Amino acid sequence: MTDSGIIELFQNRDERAIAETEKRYGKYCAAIARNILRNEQDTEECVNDTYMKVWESIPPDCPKYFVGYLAKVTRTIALMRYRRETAQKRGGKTVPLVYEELSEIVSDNTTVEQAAENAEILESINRFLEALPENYRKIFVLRFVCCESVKDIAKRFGIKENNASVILNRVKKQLKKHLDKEGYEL
Amino acid sequence: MNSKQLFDLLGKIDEKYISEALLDEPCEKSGSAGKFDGKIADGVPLDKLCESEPIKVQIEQTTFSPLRIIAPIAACLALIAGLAHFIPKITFIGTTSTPAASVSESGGKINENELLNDVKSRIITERPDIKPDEVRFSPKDNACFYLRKTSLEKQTTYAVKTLYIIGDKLFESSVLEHRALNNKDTYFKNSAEVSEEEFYGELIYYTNLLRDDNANQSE
Repeated sequence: MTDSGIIELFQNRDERAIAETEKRYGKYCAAIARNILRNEQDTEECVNDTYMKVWESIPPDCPKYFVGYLAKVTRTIALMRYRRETAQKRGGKTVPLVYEELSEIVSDNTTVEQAAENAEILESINRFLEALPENYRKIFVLRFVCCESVKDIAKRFGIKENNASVILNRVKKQLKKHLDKEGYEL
Repeated sequence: MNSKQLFDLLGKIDEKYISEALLDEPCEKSGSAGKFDGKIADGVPLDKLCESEPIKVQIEQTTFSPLRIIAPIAACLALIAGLAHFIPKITFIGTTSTPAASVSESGGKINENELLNDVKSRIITERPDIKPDEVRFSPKDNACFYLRKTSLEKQTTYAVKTLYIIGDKLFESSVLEHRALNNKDTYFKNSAEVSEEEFYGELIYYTNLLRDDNANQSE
């Protein structure tokens, strides 16, 4: 079934929408949840919560990129769960590690003005991503949005871990340069 | 902003990019060049182009120590030494305005018009898919580009590839970039997008990638 077919099922409140979503994109959702939670039971519950959230939000939402939409919902729910249930104690160190990787390009100054700028920064980041070479963009998104390990990313692209790390470092620096150029201070 | 906030913000990026990454399919609006396959142009693998040792430069961030001064200098020396392997083999496209980019294999200076004509004549025989008038020279970047007009919603865009000569063959950058430009001539007068450093760096990067792949295969 196509994405538009699944979304139509959601819009018609047809419960087959969940089964079709599971069939088509269940593994993607589970992978993102697992990358963050590092726990199979939590992953399964997170994916189920994702389906429930999507059931509640479509309609009115009508996502153009369904898997991207699912991924964002999964990520949000997994992070909430991670933070709420102190997943770190269960060995889930992925998220703090990803934070650390980003720490070299940001300061720790949070202001009200900064928070207000976030929407604009997001738009700027989207513009930055649009201009990136495709593979660089994919690698960056897989690492910092989908929390995929550098090892898995390297395997996915058929390159060495070192090369994947080089690309990530390069893109991070380019992102900082881009945001600086557009007047946003990290 | 701290790293956690930036991380959260990245979770809100346009869904098309996430979709593209997860499904390994080009997103609708991107200037994608397809999956990198170890070839930079016209099916020619990089291992046919360069045979010298890979150049690996790593600069680590540390607290203050003499290494912070010595490491970058050592890295630069390594890079210069590494580039020396390439220089005899590569004729970089450029003008007389920047000597570093304008010296040909034989050591003579390349005239911009001669260069353009050379590239265009090579395109006619080697790349019939490119029209000669699609090739432009960027004085600021000291490089030739090949443009392919595309459409992106209501904007006029151009796919941009760097063209360069290695040995006696014409190659193009494997990285396609899309530029939303209203006027390509204006763009090339003002462009500073592709620096010389990036131009060289890309070549070294892909060469190393290929060598790594070859090393893996031989293992």
